[in-house]
Amino acid sequence: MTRRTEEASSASGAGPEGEGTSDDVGANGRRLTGAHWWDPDRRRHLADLPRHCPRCSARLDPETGISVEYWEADRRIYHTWCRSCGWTGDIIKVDRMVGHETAD
Amino acid sequence: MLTKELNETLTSVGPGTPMGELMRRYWYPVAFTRELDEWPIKRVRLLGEDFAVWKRPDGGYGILQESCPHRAASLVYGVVESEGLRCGYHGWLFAPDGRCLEQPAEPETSSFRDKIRAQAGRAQELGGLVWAYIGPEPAPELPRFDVYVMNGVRDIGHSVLPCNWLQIMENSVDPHHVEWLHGRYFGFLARQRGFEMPSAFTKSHVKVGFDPFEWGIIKRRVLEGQTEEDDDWKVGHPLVFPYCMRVGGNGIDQMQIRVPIDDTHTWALFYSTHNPPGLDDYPEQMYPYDYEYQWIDERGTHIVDYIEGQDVMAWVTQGAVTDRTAEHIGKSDIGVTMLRRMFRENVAAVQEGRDPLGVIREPHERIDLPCERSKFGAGAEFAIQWIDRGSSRYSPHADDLKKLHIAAAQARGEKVPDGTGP
Repeated sequence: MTRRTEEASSASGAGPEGEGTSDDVGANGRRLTGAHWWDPDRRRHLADLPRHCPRCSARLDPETGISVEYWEADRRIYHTWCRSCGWTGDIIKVDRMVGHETAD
Repeated sequence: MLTKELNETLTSVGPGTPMGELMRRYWYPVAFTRELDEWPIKRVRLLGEDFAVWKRPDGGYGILQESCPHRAASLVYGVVESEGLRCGYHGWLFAPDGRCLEQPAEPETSSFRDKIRAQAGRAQELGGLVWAYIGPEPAPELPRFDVYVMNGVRDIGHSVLPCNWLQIMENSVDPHHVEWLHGRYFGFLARQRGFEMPSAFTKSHVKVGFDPFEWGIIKRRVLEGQTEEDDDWKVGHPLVFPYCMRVGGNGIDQMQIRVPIDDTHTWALFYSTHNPPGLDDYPEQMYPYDYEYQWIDERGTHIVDYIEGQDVMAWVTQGAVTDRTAEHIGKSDIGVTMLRRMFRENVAAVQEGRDPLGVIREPHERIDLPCERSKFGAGAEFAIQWIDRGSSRYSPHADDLKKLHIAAAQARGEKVPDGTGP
């Protein structure tokens, strides 16, 4: 499990907050349950979870808000609520900026 | 996906947990009135704690911690007396509010009993069920939702399921499962096994919508061939926060009730009131019909040839507490996303000293919930399909229920389905 934790830190690029636990894979102080073949992918997703409210910058964790990831086609969206300021909205991870396709 | 921490936060209901504190702000059914008329004390497990529920000689009900504060014997094996419940072991007597009234073996002058208090809640009857509240005082009102108080014939199927209650609630804001689990999958089974399936669930979803309202979330859908003017979108039906869903219309009104016994067990009830248009009087019932529906066979295989059995399969096979750190949810799951946020917001409300959604403090006669009238189609034919291919097929009175719908159809001057005449 130690190796798995190291992989987690490496894969996520975790900085000072990066840490794992003895029984779970994890990243950025956050944990996952169990082991799956797609764990490298899970760790990347975990690392992308918003950590702060986009409006008031309050920390988002189970005590102070909620951020639930869902997919819309290729887009990964984090539906987020901040307890501190009440902001509710979707945060979208952008991998590539694509504009309208030109018509031939 | 969720983090492990958030999944644990949302699914743990024991005392002292954030969700446990939220869920202790509501009333729950814990017994049938019939049961406590047959024997006046019942052991109950609710939100991870054990209780003794009893019927008082004055007709009221009480609920106390199961374990006697003296030396932990079960109060379920106690004596019902006019003042309260007396432990069968050494005779300590507890009032319904938890005060210790007597300790027979202690010296007569002792004030020891004044130092003892059992954990007590409140209990009362509604709609043939005994309901309990184990949260902080002052207790809110017990909501008198329409299904529990309307006229009709009451029929309650119930079973204890080995899974967390939240995954059952998430199913209630997941309209798409209907066309697949109760449509395509049901059709596959029907073809393989040679039976006829209800035709109501095969239409594709064009659009789904979710609106928060004072009792939870209204779920709306536009099905193939419908518009936003149809009841399915215009009215919809509600998830009743935090542990019920209201469905039905046109002769069968139903509340689906999911009582969190603990983190890995849920008492799942289907409370139906049959009131087909065309009838003014219904047979007298001393108690609602109650029975256990079967969901697993002797080989451990899920029974999936009826609607609720299919739902149970989906709930239970997700695991005792489904691992949401390994899920992949999409746009079609936005109702689930919204429900999780609603729970998180209401946990915060409780922590900040406010009443959460759905707590009512004003006395009232009846709460009518929005529910589409035409969802299940009209007429006896559908009602009979619903009974034959739903959990009501396990009712010892299933035939009487079918006859009720046929009599109503005849009173309305409708054609009675072939082979179903009385």
